[in-house]
Amino acid sequence: MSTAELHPAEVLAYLKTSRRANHKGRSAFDRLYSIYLALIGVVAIGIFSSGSLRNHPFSPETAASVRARLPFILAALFCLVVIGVLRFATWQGPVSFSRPDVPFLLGAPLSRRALVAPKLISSLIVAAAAGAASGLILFVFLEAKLRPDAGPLLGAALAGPALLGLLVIALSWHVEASIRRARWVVRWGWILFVLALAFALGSRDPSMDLSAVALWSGPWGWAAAPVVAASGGAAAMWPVTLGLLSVAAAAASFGALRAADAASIEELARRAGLRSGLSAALYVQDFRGLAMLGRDARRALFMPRKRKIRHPRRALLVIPWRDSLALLRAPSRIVWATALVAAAALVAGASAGHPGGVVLAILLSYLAAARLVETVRQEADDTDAAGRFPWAFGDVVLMHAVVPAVALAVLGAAAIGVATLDGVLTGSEAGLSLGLVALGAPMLIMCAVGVAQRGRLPIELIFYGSEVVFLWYAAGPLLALVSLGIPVASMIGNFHSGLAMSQASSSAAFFLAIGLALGITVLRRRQPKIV
Amino acid sequence: MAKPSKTPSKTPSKSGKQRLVLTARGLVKRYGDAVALGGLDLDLRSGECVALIGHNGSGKTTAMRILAGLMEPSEGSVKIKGIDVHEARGNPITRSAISFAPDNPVLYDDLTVEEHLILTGLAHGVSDDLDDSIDSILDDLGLLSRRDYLPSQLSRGMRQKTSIACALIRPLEVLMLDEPVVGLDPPSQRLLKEEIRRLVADDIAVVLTTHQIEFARGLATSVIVLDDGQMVDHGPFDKVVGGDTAASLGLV
Repeated sequence: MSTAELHPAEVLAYLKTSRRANHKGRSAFDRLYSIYLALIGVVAIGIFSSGSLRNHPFSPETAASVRARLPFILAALFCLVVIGVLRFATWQGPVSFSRPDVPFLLGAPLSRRALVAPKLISSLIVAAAAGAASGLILFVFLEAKLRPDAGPLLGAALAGPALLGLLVIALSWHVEASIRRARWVVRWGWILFVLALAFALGSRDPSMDLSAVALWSGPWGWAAAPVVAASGGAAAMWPVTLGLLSVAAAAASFGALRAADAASIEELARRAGLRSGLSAALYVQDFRGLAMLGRDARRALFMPRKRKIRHPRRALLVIPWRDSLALLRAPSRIVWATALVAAAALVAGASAGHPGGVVLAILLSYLAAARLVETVRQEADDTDAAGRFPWAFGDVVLMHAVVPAVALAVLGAAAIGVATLDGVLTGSEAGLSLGLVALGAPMLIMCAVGVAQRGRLPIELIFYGSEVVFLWYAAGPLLALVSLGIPVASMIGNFHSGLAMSQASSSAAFFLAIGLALGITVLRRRQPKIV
Repeated sequence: MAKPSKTPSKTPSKSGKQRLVLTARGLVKRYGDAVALGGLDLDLRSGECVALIGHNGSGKTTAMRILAGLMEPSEGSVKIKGIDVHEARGNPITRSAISFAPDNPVLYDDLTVEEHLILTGLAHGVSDDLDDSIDSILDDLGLLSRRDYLPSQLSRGMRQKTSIACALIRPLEVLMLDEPVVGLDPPSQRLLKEEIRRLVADDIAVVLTTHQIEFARGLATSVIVLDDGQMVDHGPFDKVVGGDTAASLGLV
């Protein structure tokens, strides 16, 4: 057999024919009919939406305000799209292959460019079409509410987002093709997120100077400028930005097609595996599986730093040592937990005992706790792992709760410290709050650990319906709401009935202590899930 | 079902006396109508090495996981020092006695090779000479240069060695090795065989599964042949391996 390079077009055509022969899909007529129905639906919905919106146009003052804010809002939205697509390209991207493609196509002596280019061109076309479709939605809304000249607005709303779609997908191929660029996007992508946030904040008090900054700040602004101008806003330079965007999109697309063979087989194969795992995890609604895939994708870009802690000498300290190492090597968990505790503290402070605020604060705190108990999930992922210890599974799980409980209590104490320095809490209130945090943090960790030790979603549950699956995932938040809701409700109730803060807090502490004792008893009895 | 007969270990044990450490009676595992293990009896004595052999799907791993207390049998019991491993799941006596290295190494992806050994060793009370023990085991298994590697940086064989090292770092009475030589190169297989021989001489009881009869030769005191979940032959190594059953199954 000749080892000369095969002609990819022939191979792909053969593959297409074979697949069609084995998988009789819908006929061309059926497909066209579906597209026809979809178009009819979209047009009908568009006309209906436009009609509804036109019945309630903005008042002249509101319209002027919206026009002034439009540069910021659109720049922020487009900026989020750019970073979202680029981040997507760090683990998938515009060109993806199925798992069987890896040995049969990528492993064959076929030109990589010929395999990648058709997929890349499809992605570019789809991106431009998706951009234009979202521009159409934008057009329907702005035309109905602001009543500008429809023709120029339609052109601007289609052109800007379509060109931006083209540009960002072309750029995302460059990210997909190079691990170095993918690392760069992960490391510095947050700057674009902050920029989008700044634009969103800028829209609250729009000024002409800042709107020009937003529109000139990058492709997101260039895409927004024609829409802003066509809506009657201040963007006189829109032809220049549109020109810039066109040139950038064309250059990036051309560059992407030229670099169609830039991605390594190894990288494409890795992404094919990831895509296959993603489909499987989504199919069985396995969010733990999804999280593990995300972690694997991150690890493909960055190996975790092997920060060390001197190991203890006592057996009972070995699991806390292992958990401290885990947190040290995944500092993002601490960062997330800190952000969530801060958000919970802000919500709790702002709500002033309002039930909705309390519920939200408890849920945010629970999410912080859940970020800290990864090592319990690792034990539950494979029951053989806990078999290495001389202790019962329930005891291993409880030992894994120690470090997260301390970490969460420290974060809670820090939040109380900030609130006290800020004058929100008095000295005595801070003392009482610290006491409650000392019990509340372990309680939340207990809930998170209790949920984590169950392991992954048992596959048979998906046959019982989505309500059961929902309950499986909602068990943690619900448990946290009950475990903390009762003590907090009792404290607020007692306080409102005239009891002093210290007395009201002691009832909460009592309920928390009971809950903790119950949680420890239940967890100690837990057995590993074995088949 | 008859119990496997016992023969003295080819590797003389230190004590010279072999005490019963593990007893399994009538182990059956069913998955619906399918029978993964159709009845296994075993008396395991200190200083004895038993090899379970059979084709893929013959029930070897199922038997190992049940013996190690990691899988519930549908019928039957496993006792260590008179304590039922499954009824008293988590009992420190049984957990401390059995050390199991599964066929698919279970390692924490954020811990290095050395940290896995520290975790396992310390948990089992090895503290005074832990660092020396780690050095020695890593050296014996050719892992010394990989001590700071994470599992994702290791080959399949290296991960297998790490899993075996974890099983060996701790005090134990019964060592269970499921397909220990899968992924190991010939020098590593020889090193592992030597290590097992040393353990057997130290009165440790060993149960291992393997497809490689040559690995078990000179190591296993007795052999159990499993086929389609059934124990079809058992006895001294030479007798079973030289017998008709193993030959008819194409195991030798």
